[in-house]
Amino acid sequence: MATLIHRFDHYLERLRADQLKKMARVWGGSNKLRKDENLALIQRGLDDPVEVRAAITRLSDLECTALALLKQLGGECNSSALAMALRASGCVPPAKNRYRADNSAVIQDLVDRGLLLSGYAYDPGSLGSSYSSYMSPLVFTDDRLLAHVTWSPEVKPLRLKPLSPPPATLERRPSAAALDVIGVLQGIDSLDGIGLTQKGTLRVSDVRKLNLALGWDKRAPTVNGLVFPEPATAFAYALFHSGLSKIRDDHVLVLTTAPEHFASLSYGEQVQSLLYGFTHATEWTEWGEEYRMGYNTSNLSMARMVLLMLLTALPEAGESFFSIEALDAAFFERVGEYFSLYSYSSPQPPYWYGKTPAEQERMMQEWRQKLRAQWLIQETPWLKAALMTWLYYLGIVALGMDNGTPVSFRLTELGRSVLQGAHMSTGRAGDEVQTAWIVQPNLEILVYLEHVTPEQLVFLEQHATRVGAQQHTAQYRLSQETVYAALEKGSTLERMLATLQTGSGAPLPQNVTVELREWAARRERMTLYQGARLLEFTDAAHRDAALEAGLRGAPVGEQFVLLASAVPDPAAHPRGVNYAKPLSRCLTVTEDGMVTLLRPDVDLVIEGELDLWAERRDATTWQLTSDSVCAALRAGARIEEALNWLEARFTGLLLPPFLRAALLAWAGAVTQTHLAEVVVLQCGQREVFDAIVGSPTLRSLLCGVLAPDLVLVNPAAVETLRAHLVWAGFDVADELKVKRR
Amino acid sequence: MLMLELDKYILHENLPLLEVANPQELDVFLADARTARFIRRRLSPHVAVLAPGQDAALLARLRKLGHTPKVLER
Repeated sequence: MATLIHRFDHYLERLRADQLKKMARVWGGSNKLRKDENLALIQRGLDDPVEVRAAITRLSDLECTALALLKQLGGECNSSALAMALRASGCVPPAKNRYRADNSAVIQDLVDRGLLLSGYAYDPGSLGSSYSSYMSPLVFTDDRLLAHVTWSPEVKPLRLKPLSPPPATLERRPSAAALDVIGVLQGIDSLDGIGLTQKGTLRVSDVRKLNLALGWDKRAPTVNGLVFPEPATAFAYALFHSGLSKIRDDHVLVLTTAPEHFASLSYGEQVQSLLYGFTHATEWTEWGEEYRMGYNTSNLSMARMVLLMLLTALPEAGESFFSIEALDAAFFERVGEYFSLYSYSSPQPPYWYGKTPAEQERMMQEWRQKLRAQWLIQETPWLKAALMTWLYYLGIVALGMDNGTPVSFRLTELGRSVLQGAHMSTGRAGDEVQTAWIVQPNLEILVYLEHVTPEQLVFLEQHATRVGAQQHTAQYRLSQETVYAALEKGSTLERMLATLQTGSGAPLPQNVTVELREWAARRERMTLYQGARLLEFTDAAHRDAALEAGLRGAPVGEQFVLLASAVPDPAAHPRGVNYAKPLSRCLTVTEDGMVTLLRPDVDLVIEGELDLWAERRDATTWQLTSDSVCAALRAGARIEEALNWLEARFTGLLLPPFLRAALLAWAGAVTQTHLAEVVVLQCGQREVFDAIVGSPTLRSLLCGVLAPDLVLVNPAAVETLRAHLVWAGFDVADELKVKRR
Repeated sequence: MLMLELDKYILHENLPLLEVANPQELDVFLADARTARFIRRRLSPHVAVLAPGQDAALLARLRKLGHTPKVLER
C-alpha cells in the first residue's frame, strides 16, 4: 500500500544544487545550468511524455530493472529491499571495492540519476546509513516515469543444472490451490472478519474459529504431508498486505473483495495478488512461532522477494527439477555477502587496511566461507520452509521428494505463468468449458480438479456447497438453499441446468433435473416486494377504467393496481404515501391507553398496526391493554417497537408517561409500588421537627422520616404521641397541609 | 399518454407487499401470530401489505418456515 506521493515535484525543491545537477543529466542538463534551471528542466521533462520516453532509452539495464521492479511493487519500496532485489536479478555488476559496494550505494546511484527519491522529508536525495536495513528509508519513483515502463524486470538466468526425475513428486493443481484460498476467504467472510488486539495482533479466539471453520485442527496442519505452520495467521496477514482485506474502524480485519469476485479471477491473477501479500506478511514466519526469536522481521520480506526473483531467473527446462541445494547456493552467491535474516545490518567485510592484495584476497575468501557456514545454519532452513509452505500451497512450485523429504523443485505451469509470464494452457478466464464433474443422483457433484476451469469453479461455489476437497477431486452438494441463493443473486434455472450438463458431459440424472425445476418453481410461487408501487383507486369502476385505458400493472383486489412500471406523469400526484419516509401522525393517545385514529384512510398500514398492539373498540378507537400488548410480545414483537411506533404516529409532543410506564410493566419491567394506610406527623418548623424526631422519648413512637417535614408514626402509639405533643403545648391538627401540583 | 384523474387515486410508494400463488398460504401466515405480526392488511386473496421496514425480518421468518420467496428490491 502506497505511503508516499509518487510525484517528484513535492520533493525537488528540497534538493541541493549538486544533487539537482546530477539528476538533470538524464533530461539533457549540464554542469553549466543553475539550480533553478535544473529544477525547471527536470519538471518539464517529467511533464512531457515524449521527453520521458527519450530519457528511458538512455537508461542502463540496471536502471530499467529498478523501474520495472518498482512498478511491480506499486511505485515504492524499502531501499535495502530494492537493492537486494536488484542484486538477486543479477543486474548489479561485481564491486571493484567491496567497502564501497554496500546496498545504499546501489540505490544512491539511481537517486543521483534522478530515477528515485527517498522518503526522507528533509533530504530526499539521501538514503541515510547504508549498513542497517532497519534504518533504510523508502524510495519511490515518479508515476510519470512508471507510466512508460512496459517491460518486466530483467533477471539474469541462474546457472542451475536440471536433474533427472525424482522418485516422487508433490504438486498442487491450480484449481486445488484456488479452492483452498476461496475457502479461506469464505471462512473469514462467514466469521465477519478477524478481530485484532490493542497491539494489532490477531485475536487468538478468532484465529481458532477460523482454523475450525477451515478444518485446520492443529496449529501446524499438513498439506499433502508438508507442515504449514499457523496457516490462519499466514493467510490473514497475506490478505491484508495484498489489499484483499483491510482493518475496519472497530479493529476487525475484514475482506475488501467478495469470495465470489475473487473466484472469478484467473488462477494467475488470484495467486499474483497473494504472492505479494505473502512477501510482505512479516507477522508470520515459515518455520512457526517457536523459531521466531532472533530474526529481523524486515529482512524476512527481503528474503521472500529475493527468492521470487531467483525463481523468476530459473532457466527454461521444461518439466525438469532443480536441486534445492543448488538454489540455495545460487541464493547465497547473488546476495549472501549483503544479506542476513538475523542481522539488522549487512555483513561487514574484513578490515584489510595495510594488507597486500594476496592477503586481502585470502581474507575475503575466509570471510565468504564463514558467511556461507552461517548461511547454511540460518538462511538455508528458511529457504526450504518457504518452498514447502506458501510457495507449494499456492501452486507455484512442485517438489521432488526422496524418502519423504523435499530435495528438488521446479516451477509449475502456474508458477511459470505468474513469475516468468509464460503462457498457461489452463486456468485462464475464458478457457473453453470442458467436462469436469459427475453429477450424482444424490445431488452431489464429484469434481475433477485437473479439468475444471475457473469459471466452472465459480459456478460451483455459487450454486452448491463444498463438502470436501482432496489433491485431485472435490465434492459439492446441491440443495434447495444453495439453488435459492443462486437464483436470488441473478442466476437462472436454464443456466444452472445447461452448465451442470455441459460440465458433466452427459445428461443429468432425471431426479436432479426434477428437483432443480421444483426448487426454482417454488421460488416463483411467492414474491416479497420490498418497495412496490401501488395505485389505490376510489372504486373498482375507476380502477378498471384506468386499466382499460392502458395503465400497465396487475389488478389487486377491487381498488388497487400493482404497477409494472413508472406511473405516467409522476410529477402530478397530489395524494400519495411513501412508506420509506415517516408516515403521518394520526393518533391521539390517552393515559389509560385509549387510542383514536383521526384519519382512517391515512395509509394502508395504520389499522394493521393498531390491531397488532391494541383491542379495537369501534371504527376509530382502540385500547392498549395488558392482554393486547402481551399477545403481540408473545408473537415475537418487542416493546421498543410499540413505543417507537406510538411516538412516531402520536400527534402530541410526548407519550403520556404513565402509559409508557404501563407498557414497560406489561412487557415485564419490574415496577414496584407500595400502597398502605398510615399515620404521619407533619411539622413545618424545622427546629421543632428535628427536636421531635431526635427526642429519645418520642423516637420509639416513630417509624421513619418520609420528608423534611413528615415522619411516619407507629399506629399503636398515636395517642401516646398526641399526649406528649399536647403536654409540650403544640397545636395538633387532624389534617395535613398539602400543596397541590 | 395515459392521463389519470388526480382525485380518483392515491399512489402508494415503497410499499412492502407479499404476493402468493396459493391464497391458503396467506391464510396460514395470518393464522400464525409469529408471522401475522408482520402483515398489516390483506388487499386480496393473494396480496398482503407488510409492515414497513420489517421485510427482512419477515423474509427470515418465511425462510425458517421453509419458504423460498423471490425478493424484488426497490
